[in-house]
Amino acid sequence: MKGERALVRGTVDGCLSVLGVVIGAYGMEPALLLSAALAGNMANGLSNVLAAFSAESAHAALRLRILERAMLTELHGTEAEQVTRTATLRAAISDGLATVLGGLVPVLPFFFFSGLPAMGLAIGMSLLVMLGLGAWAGRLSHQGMLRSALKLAAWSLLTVLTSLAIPRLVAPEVPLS
Amino acid sequence: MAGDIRSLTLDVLKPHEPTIIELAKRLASLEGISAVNIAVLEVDAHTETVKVSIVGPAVDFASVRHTIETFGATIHSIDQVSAGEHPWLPRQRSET
Repeated sequence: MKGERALVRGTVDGCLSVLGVVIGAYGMEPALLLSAALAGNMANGLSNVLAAFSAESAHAALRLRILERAMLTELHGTEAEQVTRTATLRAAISDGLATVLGGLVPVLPFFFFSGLPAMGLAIGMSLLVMLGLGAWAGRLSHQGMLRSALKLAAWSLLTVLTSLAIPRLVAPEVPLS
Repeated sequence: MAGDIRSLTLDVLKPHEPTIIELAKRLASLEGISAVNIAVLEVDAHTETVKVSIVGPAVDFASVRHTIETFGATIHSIDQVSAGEHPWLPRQRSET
């Protein structure tokens, strides 16, 4: 299940973070907007690898200590420790990769279009991905596909609205269209 | 050779990962071992107790112990051993 967890977490993070960047940078020259979005996406992905690795390593170390107490033996240098390390690394890389791939969704329209059509596509595609991801996560957890999909879509809409509101406060002179 | 260990039965405590499949494959690949059987006796949240039965023309206990310890497992006890030239193998008692 670690892989699925990293996939959902990373994709949601990447997609919505970059969508926020794209919406906030709307009005910039297309090349600059793409540059900001892609750079932010890569930075987000790399930071997620580090974050996931740090968190999972700490958790794995704790699990190993508990196991050592249960077995009354040291596990340093054993395959049991190696299995834990490999799983930790795999989860961290999955998280980072999912983040970068998710972050590409709102960026893609700006390679082919510009202005409001590109923005609309970016928001629409991101919402679709979130709906699909939510449905899949709901199926995995047996908590209702529709409920899970709508929950993720609602949070995505909140992200969109927040991202639209902030530029109006910070730089109200920049037109929306 | 006379004095070679022909079969060995060990009580082993191991973590859930690596699995008994991986442990069995690793033990079976050791020189002098022709067959390995691992049966799970008890399971708890973090560990499992297994009975490892090893058969071969010349079972090297030191290699077996090293392999088991490398896996992060520990040998609790040596429950049965047979050695010598006579091809006698212990019967597997059902655990009830």
